[in-house]
Amino acid sequence: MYGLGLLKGMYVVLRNFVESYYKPERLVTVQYPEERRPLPPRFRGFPFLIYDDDSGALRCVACQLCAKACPATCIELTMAKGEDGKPAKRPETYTLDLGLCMQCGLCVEACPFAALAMDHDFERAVIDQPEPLRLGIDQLRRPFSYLEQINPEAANALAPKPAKTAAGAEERPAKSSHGGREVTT
Amino acid sequence: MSMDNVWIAIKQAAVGAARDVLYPLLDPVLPAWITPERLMMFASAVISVVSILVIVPLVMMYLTWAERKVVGRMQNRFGPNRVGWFGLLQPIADAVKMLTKEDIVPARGDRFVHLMAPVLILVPTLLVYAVIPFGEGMIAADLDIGVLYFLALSSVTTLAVFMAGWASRNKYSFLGGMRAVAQMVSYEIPLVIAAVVVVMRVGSLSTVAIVEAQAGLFGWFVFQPWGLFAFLIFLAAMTAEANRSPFDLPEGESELVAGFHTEYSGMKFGMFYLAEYFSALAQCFLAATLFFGGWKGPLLPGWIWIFLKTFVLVFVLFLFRGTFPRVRVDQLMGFTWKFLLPLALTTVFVAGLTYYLPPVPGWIVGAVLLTGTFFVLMLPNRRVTLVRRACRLEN
Repeated sequence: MYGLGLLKGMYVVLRNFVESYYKPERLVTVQYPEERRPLPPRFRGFPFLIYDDDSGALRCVACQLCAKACPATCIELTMAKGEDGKPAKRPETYTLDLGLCMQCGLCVEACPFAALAMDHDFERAVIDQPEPLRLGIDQLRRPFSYLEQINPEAANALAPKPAKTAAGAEERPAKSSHGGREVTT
Repeated sequence: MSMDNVWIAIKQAAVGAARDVLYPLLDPVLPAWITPERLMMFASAVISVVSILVIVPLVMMYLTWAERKVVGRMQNRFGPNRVGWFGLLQPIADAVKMLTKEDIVPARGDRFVHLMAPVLILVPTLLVYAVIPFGEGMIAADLDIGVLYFLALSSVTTLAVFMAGWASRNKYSFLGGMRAVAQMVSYEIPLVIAAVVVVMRVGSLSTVAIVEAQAGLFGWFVFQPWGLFAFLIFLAAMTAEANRSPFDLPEGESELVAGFHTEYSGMKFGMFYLAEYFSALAQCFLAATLFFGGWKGPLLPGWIWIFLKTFVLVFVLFLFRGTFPRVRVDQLMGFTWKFLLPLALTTVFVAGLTYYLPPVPGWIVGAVLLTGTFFVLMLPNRRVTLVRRACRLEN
């Protein structure tokens, strides 16, 4: 009434204007490429395949559960065959189509062997397209220590399990030695 | 030589150079009717015109930058800070963008009028700078009818806005143009009456005479009750004249896409943008001249004072933009016809009455009369609540 509301509003705006120069907490804008907020540990980027730091072997046993869980059918994988012609319980090819993947994380939830995890890499934009959007095993594999780095919580939860599965699946003769380590951890 | 007239000295030196250096050089080729005096007059005019044509667009460029910065800070953002140091090259980047964009004319529009509208809106907004005194003796043309010239030319822009809306052959453009005409014609009246108050007290339409009449410590007209009210009316009407927020209805995007410049792109659109800022700046200069004593002020040279006062007024316009939401059409019209116009007429009356009273009683009588009118005028302008509207409908 009587124009006082106008003055009150102008005072509030003026205070915002002045205080933004000496109160840093007022300016919430993050100057993105130079300045970044830390990503939350459970941030969902694209999934990646975990391999053990020691052996370098993928945890994946090519069970196809992730491909079946994927609503966008962006995962395709085939099982490798061993020298004896029997299925070798490791993937021969594993392709993730970035154009289809919607980063839902259902593949990670479906994986019984904790062989998949969600990456923190989200800056996938490129100016041209030097490589296809379908990533193979070589581009998807990351060490377990990388998962410990980006998401320690998930890494802790997954740590004991892979030792058993990877050992059981891949290196059956060496089970005893790995089994010993499993008990200690 | 003080800082006050350094620019005048530079101009006189240049004009002198035109007589002493340029004339002997060009004498063999020039026709006989060009005498040294006429050449000096010509040189003087060219220098005034060129300095206005350089300084005003430069100030306008950085006005757009400053507006984005200031409004950004008001909303706790940074504003442009990528192009150059503190975003200082942003206006240049914007200009390059404007110039390289495609120029589209509606297929069934009137091509000639469509082309002429942005030209016609830009020319008067630049011409009005001729009568603005930037300092003592720093005026391009000290016309005896300076204020009238300013008001007459600045109202020509209304025509260009309507031309733009008409030529686009687009309902939104047309509606925006019609709104702009209605708004600008309505707000012209309080604007002119507020200026008339000052003209009446000074007894001259010359902008220089108006500034000269405001000498002394509290000589600025804004310290008089009638001056303060005239200034407030002028400020509101000027905001509406320049189509600036909260009176930016002609281009209200939520209802009219972009109003009269919906169908404009590229540099034609850029010229509307230029004209809007030119006229806002010119109105601020005129307000500083009429009510804040123009170049008068202690210590600093006059041309710094007038720029300082103008930029304070421009900042107030930015503050309006940062604070107020856009008004409705009926509120816009009601505000000018039911509030500003009666208040402006009362201000004229009070200014005339206090002219015949001694200063101190005159000040008190003026203040009482105008404040009383202000509160009385609030009554017919009360907000119509739902309850009150229901009562009205029942009766």
